[in-house]
Amino acid sequence: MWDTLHHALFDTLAGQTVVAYAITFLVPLIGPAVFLRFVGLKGLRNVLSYEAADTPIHRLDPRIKLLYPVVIGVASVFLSWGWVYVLFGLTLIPWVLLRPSLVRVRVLTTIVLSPALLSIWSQGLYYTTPNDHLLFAFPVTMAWVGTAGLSTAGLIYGAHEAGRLLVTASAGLVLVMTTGPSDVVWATTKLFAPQRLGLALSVGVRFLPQVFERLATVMHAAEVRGYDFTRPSRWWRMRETVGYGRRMVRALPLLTVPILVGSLRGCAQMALVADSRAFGVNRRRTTYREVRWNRGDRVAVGLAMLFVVGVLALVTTGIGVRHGL
Amino acid sequence: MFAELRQPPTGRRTGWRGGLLRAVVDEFCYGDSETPVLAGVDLSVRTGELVVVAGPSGSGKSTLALALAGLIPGRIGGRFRGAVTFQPDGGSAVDLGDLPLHVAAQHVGIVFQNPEYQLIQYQVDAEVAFGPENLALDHAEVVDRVARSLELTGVGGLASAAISSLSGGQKQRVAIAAALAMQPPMLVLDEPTSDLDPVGTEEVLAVLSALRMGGGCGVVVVEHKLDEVARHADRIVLVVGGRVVLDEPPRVAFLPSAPWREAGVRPPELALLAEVLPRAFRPEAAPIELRNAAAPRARLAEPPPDGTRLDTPPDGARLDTPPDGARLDTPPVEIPGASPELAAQEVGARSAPLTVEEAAARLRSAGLLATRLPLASPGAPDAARGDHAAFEVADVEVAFKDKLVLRGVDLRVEEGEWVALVGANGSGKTTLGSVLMGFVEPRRGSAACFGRPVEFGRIPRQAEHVGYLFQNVDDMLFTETVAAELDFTRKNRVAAGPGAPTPGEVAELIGLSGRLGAHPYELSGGERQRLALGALLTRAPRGLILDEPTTGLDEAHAMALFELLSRVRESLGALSCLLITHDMRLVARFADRVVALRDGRVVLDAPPREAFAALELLESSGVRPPAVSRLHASIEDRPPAVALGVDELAAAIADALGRV
Repeated sequence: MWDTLHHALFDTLAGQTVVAYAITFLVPLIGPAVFLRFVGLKGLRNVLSYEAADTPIHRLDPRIKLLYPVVIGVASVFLSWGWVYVLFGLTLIPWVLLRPSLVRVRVLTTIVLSPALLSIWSQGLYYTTPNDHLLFAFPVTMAWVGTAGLSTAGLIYGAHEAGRLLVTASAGLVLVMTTGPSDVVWATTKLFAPQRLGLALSVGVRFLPQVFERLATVMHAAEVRGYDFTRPSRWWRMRETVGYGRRMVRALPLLTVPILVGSLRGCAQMALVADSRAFGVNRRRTTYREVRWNRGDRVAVGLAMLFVVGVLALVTTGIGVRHGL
Repeated sequence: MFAELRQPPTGRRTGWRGGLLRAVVDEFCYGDSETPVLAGVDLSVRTGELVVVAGPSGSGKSTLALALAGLIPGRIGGRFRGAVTFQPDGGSAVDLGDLPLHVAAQHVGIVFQNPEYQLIQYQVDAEVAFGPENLALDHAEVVDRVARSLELTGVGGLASAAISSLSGGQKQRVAIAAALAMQPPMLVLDEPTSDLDPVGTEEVLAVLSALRMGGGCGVVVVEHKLDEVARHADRIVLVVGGRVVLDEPPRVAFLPSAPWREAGVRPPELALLAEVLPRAFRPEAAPIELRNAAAPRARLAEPPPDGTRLDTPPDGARLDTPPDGARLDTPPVEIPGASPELAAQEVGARSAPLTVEEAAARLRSAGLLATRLPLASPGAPDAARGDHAAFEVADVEVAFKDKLVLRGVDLRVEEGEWVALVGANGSGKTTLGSVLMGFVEPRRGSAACFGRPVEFGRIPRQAEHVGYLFQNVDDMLFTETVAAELDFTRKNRVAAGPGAPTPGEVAELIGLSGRLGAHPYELSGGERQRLALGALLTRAPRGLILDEPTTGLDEAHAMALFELLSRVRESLGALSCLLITHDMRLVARFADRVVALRDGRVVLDAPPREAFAALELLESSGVRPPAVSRLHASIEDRPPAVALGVDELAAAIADALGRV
């Protein structure tokens, strides 16, 4: 039985084509499917929100927390992949201090791992080097995809790249979870941003949750008017699934209009308000908020400096430098 | 709930810059239009005054507010002839149109209708600090301004709160605080309470009243909730067709009510009652209240025979500030040729009570003492009721994150019954409607519509029998024309109930048959409301859930909606309806039963007359019954039922006084 199946799938052109289609299209869908199952849009909104708590990380100066993922991300670019995974281990230390709930850990893991696995798989398909060893060679019927098949070298390279993604995501999520949106805006404007970018960031942070809410309301309104967004109970029933997909695509312009019109109406008023409050009148603004450094901030900066020196040492001595740099 | 808010917040700052804001607008037309929106306006407002601008939809009152704030002609294009000036005490007048917007905003601040789009920061203190920071003021000055503005508006305790977590009233107060942080001596507000519930409205009006106290900030507020705002006002201005047709103190502004009725604006119920029963509401019956009435204004409600307007002060009229700096509720005006006796006589004949307490005091003085008032029809309105439940929830509990929003609610609405769901914002009204529609899944309990259990998320299935009108109807309109909106059901092959009307019939019903080709966004707010309701009716639903259908509508549009609902009820006799509303006129007119929610629990379930008699319970639930019902309840000692309308109470009072 097994031999027959194996033969049908791997020794016939039709079987190879089916497997190749599954490798190309089905496997990459597993990540998003797992993401939707365990996180969903609502979960994403909740998990990517600030969670007030009294931890050493929460008490840090927002500017330090804003710089943290930047520094970690830059370091990961220069370090070899082995050291990148060491770096990933280091980025887990703040999480230990934060002690997130198991639910949040599950969701965060899904958020971080789904794109990482997707990255590994896509590199496995499309990263090619001479004399690649192919785990599965695509048949001629899949020539239009533009790859010879799933390669070992590609998967390994994908794992290297995924390490960098994991490091940056882990560091970035610490910022998101421990820093209030207004603190992020404040730190950004203090550190980098010109006034207009600061305002744009502020408005974005202020209105993003509302856009999500509005989208949910508009979808409900469309359903009340009879439009059906109900997902088919059995996805393999192709007719229902295709119908669902078609309805979703057709709904896009329907849903966009109310959201867009509402937003544009609001924008005109917001512009009046911003101008009447002297936005952009002076080159430099003063700030209401002043942050004084505490011991935690000084320790964090000290550790950051040590880290930078360590990375520089690894890179300049060649011990941990990324191949090819 | 309301008692806590009656005491307005007081601020440390009382020394506002004095001055006079004056708008002389010969003509203003939007864009390339030839139709003037404002014409021949001459309006002056002193600091320390609170002036209410009222008028029907499209009368130009919001345009006048924009002009007063210096946004016209600078920021809003059109043909403008005239000038809007602010003259500080002892200084020379500046033309606001010549100033950059941020400089004009330091003379006259503006607050718009929807707080959502004027709050652009994430956190309250950051929002209020935004203006002073942009002005590059010293850090200490920024901190001081933020603290003072928050204190003046009574939101000091919310400084570090996220704006998204605030109620509507709190958001609007933050918007006022943000405008005040620019330290303007005048504030213009364009319908600041129209999207707010009664608690939020009271919060905002209390703040405005406090701002102008003690020779403080001048306030111009465009408002259509005249019942609520009149008692706070020094002057009421009626704008019709872009012209100021009346400018009077609140006690005399609404008497006679003819100009208001003709303009399509509903005067306060107490004023209407005083007009119907002039002898019962003689001002001398309440001598303490003569403070306002003793200062007659020069202008009369009735237009002069020659057709000329009386919206500008006659020659020789002047506004005085008393030497001790105290604010007069109504500035005295010298009337050339008018003797003091004549003026006193005029006011004596026309003086409306502004509060329920005052009206009750006057009636008591007129001899109406704790009498049982005979009501013409004390029973509940008739309704075509069925034997089955249209909507039913049993022991429903809903929580958002860890916050319980509904706590074991039981409710049954019979077929053909119209039930009003009332309560403060956050009491769980909309959540209950959402449970019945399948938007929200209860943590415990069950819900059913027309005998079928509600399945969470199966909204199209629910919509086969039930229509849900959202508070913001713009979220319900998806297509490019009115006709397409009404044809949406058929085009999407959606199942409609038996005997479903055709789009043409619905267009006729909602009064939009002449505008089938118009884009929904070209319609007025009230017309869009009717269109959204009409779109639901094309499916011939057996039940309707209407979420705040009159919020944001002016009187004329609210009345048009009421008429539509009457026609719908008449033509679809078995239609059941759950009205989620703060509008007690809607409740009085349409509800068979009132269900009040407080903190997610049903605290009252009774016919409107009996429900409105439970004044204390309702007010503690953030619900304010109509003024006539409250007056009735305050005249009698715990009446079992109260009057719902002016005519009814007037007849009862006249009858009782006749017996006395």
